[in-house]
Amino acid sequence: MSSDALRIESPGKRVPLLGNEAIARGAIEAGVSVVSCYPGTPSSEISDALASLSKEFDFYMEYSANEKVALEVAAGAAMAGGKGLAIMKHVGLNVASDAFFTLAYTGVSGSLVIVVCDDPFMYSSQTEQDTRLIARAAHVPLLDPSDPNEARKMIKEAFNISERFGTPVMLRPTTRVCHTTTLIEPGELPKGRKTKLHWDSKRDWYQQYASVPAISRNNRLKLIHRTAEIAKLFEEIGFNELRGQASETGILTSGISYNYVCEAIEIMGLRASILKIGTSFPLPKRKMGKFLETIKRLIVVEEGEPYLEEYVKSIALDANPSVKVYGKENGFLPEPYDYDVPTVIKGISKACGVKPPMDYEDLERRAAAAKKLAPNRPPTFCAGCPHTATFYALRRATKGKAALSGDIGCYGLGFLPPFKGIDSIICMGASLGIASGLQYVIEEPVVAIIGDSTFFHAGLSPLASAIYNRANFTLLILDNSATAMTGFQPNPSTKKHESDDSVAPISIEAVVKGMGAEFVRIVNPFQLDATIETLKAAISFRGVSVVISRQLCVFIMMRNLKMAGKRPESYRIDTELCDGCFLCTKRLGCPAIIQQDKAAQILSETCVGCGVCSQICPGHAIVKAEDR
Amino acid sequence: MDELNIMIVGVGGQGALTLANIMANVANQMDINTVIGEVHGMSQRGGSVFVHLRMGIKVCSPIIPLGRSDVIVGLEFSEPLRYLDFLSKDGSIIVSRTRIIPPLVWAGAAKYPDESAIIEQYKLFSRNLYLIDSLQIANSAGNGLASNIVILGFLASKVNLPFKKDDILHSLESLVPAPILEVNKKAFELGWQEGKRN
Repeated sequence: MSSDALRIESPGKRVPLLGNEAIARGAIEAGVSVVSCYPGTPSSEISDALASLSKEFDFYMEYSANEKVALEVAAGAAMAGGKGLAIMKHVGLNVASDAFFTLAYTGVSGSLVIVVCDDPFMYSSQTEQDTRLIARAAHVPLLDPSDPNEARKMIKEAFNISERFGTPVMLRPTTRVCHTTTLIEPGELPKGRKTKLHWDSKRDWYQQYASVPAISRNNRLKLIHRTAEIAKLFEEIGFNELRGQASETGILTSGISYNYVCEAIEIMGLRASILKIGTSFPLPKRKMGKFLETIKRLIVVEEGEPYLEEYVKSIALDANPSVKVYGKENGFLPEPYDYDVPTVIKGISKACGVKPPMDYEDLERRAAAAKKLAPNRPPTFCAGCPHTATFYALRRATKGKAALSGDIGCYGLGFLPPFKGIDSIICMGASLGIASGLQYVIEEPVVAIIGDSTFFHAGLSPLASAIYNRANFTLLILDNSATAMTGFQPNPSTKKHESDDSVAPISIEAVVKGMGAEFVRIVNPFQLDATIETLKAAISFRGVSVVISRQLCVFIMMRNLKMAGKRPESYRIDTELCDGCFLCTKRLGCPAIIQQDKAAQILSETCVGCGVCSQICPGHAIVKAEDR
Repeated sequence: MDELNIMIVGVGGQGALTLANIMANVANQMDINTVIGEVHGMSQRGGSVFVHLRMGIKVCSPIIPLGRSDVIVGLEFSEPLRYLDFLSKDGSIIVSRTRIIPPLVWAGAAKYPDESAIIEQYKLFSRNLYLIDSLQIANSAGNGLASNIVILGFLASKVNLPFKKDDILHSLESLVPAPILEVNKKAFELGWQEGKRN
């Protein structure tokens, strides 16, 4: 909620914190020395909170160009004995996984904690992948917090486990833990300053860290031994708790679902014993087995893959083969999406053969008509967003005949009407590789569309590949000097802070020219005609042509204006000249322009004066508000 | 208090989270257990948003179970349509008459429903429906952006909250920046009075 609450000294006092802030607080309490991240919902507020506190609590903090770099930075610090923390969203771990799998083998000398935020229901993601399965594949211990307070405790314990066993440790909060605000009890803050460590050059570091086959074979054995030792610890650790009341009905759950289970059995008035798992890898198999011995039926409540379910079924073969297991695999609980209390009540009711306390199907049926009536309201470009102008120009330049390979960022919304300016969005940086593949097989022109932060994240290698392989497509880089979607974190194309000139942004045009691109043009998308002509020329160029559409994110532009005590010069519609063709509303989708009966109208408090609409109005009816 | 659930819905940028934070701030000072479930990221840019505010000792999950919200607060006229199944049998709907037309409507890819059709649905789910001209009232307080605070005042006068009007005003003082505090206090007061009249 505020950095004051994050800084609070007095342990024992309860303060409201967002789950992600509680994780940041826990990392500070653990004495973290290096934090690195690439932002991504639902993880972004962890690093945002830490960025604001790094000086005060004496740790180094960087926004890395991508998650792989972030993990390597934190790992480097941990190799030397520091406390490294890397933060990312679940799909970020895919980017980092090359380093991740090997770091599990080498281990670390200090401590390395990786926070990976999963996003069930894909509130802001392209997939719903379950990081528990990756932890198992890599043999990296994983802690699964059920609420913000537990997340704070777990990240501290993660550093302890990492240091004690010399292994990377993961914390996996999900969206509903990250974005829940509740009262938490902070612990003690560390005292004193950190001193520089020493790299002992006489030590044979390579025997641990040089991952050549002979050394990795040795590390592989150590990894098995280490995992077994940690499994012993996890049989005893407090995060795996037996709750509820003794009953023939057992519920196995973890993470946020634990809260849904507690509330569900309270509402149902059901007697059940609950085993809450906090250490998803390695699992406390003995404890799970003992739990199975006490029950006749088991309901497994977990979001994501049937991970606990598969494990517990194999444990039951020895511990209690007669126990009946209800979960995702036999359809008692849904496999996709996030859960809530009614979903859990429905599953438990069905498994126990009781009537749910409320007829949810009837409720949902009755609500369906209202939901259908609600207007479709996806997120939109802000009024004055430069992407609106760029996508308008792109549509004019291609005349709707081109393959449009998109990427991840605000501009991804360009797929929506009225632009329909993006055909595919796969993952960070994919626009270029996909464009390369498309141009080999289709006749139509191909345009790859990527933002500045995403370009530095994962666009450099595929651009080198495309130029080297003589691909033929247009690369349209939407440079708004911002990582806007996640909350304006710095990236290599921006300053570190608005007021900080110590680091010069890396020039995108210098990079693409350095790679050998021959057609490189920079346009201001607010000058529509010039932008359209440049795009046309780029598309007809044979080879990789690059157009950089450069205009500051309107959010930052407005913030700067506000700080200077200024207001934007808005536009208005001259109702005598407006003939009601509504090209402005139909072609731009700007939230500042609405349709009245006979004429369009500009909402003066929403308009920021980009002037794009005035350039497309055939009747010249859109004029600056003060030109009367 | 056992459990009080308030769902605040609207369009990104309308200040749904601010409302939840102001009320949670009061509750926290009285050591009432509070949980706020929010959405971040994609949905913030002009999309549909919801915030779940839950108070009381029985609350553990950040999401209000279907059929258990005591109030749905709509900062935009049509937005509660998406969430009516959350409302409890005796629950109230407090909704602004402010309409925000999604730009998709102009592109012919969405339709904004008629007032009568919206109200008909609300009435199917609630006997306690309150419509409020929050923008007009906020403008008369001095700033249309304080619409959400007008609705907070209205809510405070209509719903049995576990804290008093003055407690909320104190919370406003600690959370709202000084230059816009007076406007917000006035907006709250006007919303309160509107609730008392209604």
